[in-house]
Amino acid sequence: MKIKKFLLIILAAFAHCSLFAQEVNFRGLDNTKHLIGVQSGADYGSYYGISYGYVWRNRLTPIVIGTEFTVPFGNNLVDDWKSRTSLQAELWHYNSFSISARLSSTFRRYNSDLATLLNIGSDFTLNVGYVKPKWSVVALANFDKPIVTHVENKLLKEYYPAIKDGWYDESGGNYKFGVRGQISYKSWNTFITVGKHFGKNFEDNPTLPFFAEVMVQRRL
Amino acid sequence: MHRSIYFFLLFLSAACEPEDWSKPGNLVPLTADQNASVPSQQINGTLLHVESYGTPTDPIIVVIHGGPGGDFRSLLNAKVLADDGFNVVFYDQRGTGLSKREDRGQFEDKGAIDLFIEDLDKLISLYRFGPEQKVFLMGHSWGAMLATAYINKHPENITGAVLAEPGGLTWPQTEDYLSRSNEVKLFREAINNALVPEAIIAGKSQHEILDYKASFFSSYENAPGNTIGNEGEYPFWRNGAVSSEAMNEYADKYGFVFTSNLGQYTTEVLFLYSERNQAYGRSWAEQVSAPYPTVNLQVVKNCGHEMFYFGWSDLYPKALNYFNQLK
Repeated sequence: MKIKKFLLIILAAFAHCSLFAQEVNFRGLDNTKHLIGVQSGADYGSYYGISYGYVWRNRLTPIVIGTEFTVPFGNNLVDDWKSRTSLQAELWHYNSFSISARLSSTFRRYNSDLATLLNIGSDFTLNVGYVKPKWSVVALANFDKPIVTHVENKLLKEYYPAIKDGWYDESGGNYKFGVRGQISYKSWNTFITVGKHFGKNFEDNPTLPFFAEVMVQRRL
Repeated sequence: MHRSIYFFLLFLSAACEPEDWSKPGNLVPLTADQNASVPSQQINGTLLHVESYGTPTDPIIVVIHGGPGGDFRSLLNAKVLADDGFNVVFYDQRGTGLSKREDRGQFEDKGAIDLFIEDLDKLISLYRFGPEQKVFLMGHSWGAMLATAYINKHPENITGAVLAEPGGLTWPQTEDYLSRSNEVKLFREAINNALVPEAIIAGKSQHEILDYKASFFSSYENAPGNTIGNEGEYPFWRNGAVSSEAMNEYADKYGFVFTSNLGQYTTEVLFLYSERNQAYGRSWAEQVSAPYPTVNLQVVKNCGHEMFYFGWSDLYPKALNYFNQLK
C-alpha cells in the first residue's frame, strides 16, 4: 500500500513536471524554443532545482510554458519538494519598458517525523521593468495561494490521537515583493532575484522574511 | 432512481468537504474552556489547566514549564515526588498548553510578565493552606526564569527552588543564550522541517492554525545534531503560538531584569545544567546563577536541555535530596 501511494505521488509529480516553468527575458528570446535552467536559493529554507520552458510562438505574443522542480537542501533528498507549472507572457511593452505575468499551479510535499502535508496551490506573478535583449531589471509581485492540502499526522497523532487527518481547505497565502536582475552572455542567461515575503494578512509572516534565487539558464 | 442519485451525490459532496484548519479539536487538542474534562482552575481572570498530585497539606512543589508557549506534559515525570511527601502542582501558563487561549494584547502589554507572576501567585494562594505550608518552585528553561521573577518579587513566599537551565535572568543575557541555542543552520534538514510548512499554512490569524504550525517550528530544537543536546522529540499538548511570539516581541521591546532583589533571597537554590547542551555548560550556569547569594550548581548527566524528560533518572535524586533538606 505504501509503495502504491509512493508511486502515485511520484507519477503525480512527474505529470506535473511534464509542462514547464521558467524565468524569461522576452526581449532576448530571438529564435529560442527551449529554456533549460538550474537554480538555487533561499525561500522557507534553502533549495536547489531544475527548470524547463517551451516557447510557444503564436500570432499574438510568445507564451512560455514552463515547469520547475525544487527540493530543499538537507539529509533527506525527496521528502520535501515543490513543482510548479506555469504560463508566462508579456502583456504590454513600450520601447524597453515591459509588463509580463505568470500564472502557475503548484504542488508541494512536506514530510517530517511530525506529519506529511501534500498541497495543491496556485501563484500569480506580475513583473514590471526595463528589459533589453542582453539585460533586464524588473520589480515583481507574487501571490502564492495554497488551495487544498492533504494532512497525514504521524508523531502529532501519537501526542493527540483524536487529531484529524484528511483534506483541509485553503490555508491563507504569502505575498512576495522583490527585484530580479538578468544578464546574457552568448546563449546563457543569469537571473538573480531577491525580495521579501509576507503572510496574506501581513501579520503571520514567514520566519525567514527574505527570499533569494540565482538561476543559470541555457537558451536553445 | 433520481432520488437515489441525488442522495448519492449529496453523500459524495459531504464526504469530499474539506476540513477546516481552525475548527477546535481538528489539529490541536481542545483547551480547558472547550473541554470540561480537562482539570482546570479559574485563576486571575483566565482558565488554567492545572493538575496536582499528592496530599494537599504536604509541602507544595509548583512545576513551571518552559517556552514561553510550552506546556507541562514533558515535565510529568516530576509527579513521582508526590510519593516522597510533596503536593506536586503542575499548570499550563496563561494562553498555552490546555489552558484557555487569550488575546495577543495580554502578552504585548507592558505588564505582561507581571501578569504571569500574578498567575503564579494566585495559584500558590489557591493550593496553600497557610503561611506555615512550605512552597518550592521547580522551573525548566523559561519556567526557571519565571520562578526567578517570582522569587525576585516575593522572596518570602518561597522555601526553595530548583532551576533547570534558565536561558538568562535578564533579557540581554537571554538574547546571548538564544543566539547560541537557536543558531540557524540554513542547509540542514532541520530548517526545512521547521519552516517549509510556512509555505503551505500562511497569513492566517486563527489561534488553532498558528498553534498547529508552531508544532513544526518547535521541532527545530530537537532535530538530529541540535545544539541543545535533545535526543529527539518529546510530547506536548499544544504550543501557544500567540503567547510565545508575543512574549518574545515583548522582551525585545521592553526587556526584563529578574535579578534586582535576588540578593535578599539567601536560601540555597539548586541550579541545574545539562551535560549535552552545547549552548549552556558550567561557565554559563555560573554566570546566570551569580545573582543568587547561595547556589548549589549541579550537572544533569546523559541529557540535553529537555532534562525533565530525557534526564529524569539523574535529575530526580538531586532534586529530591534538595527538597528533603529544606522540607
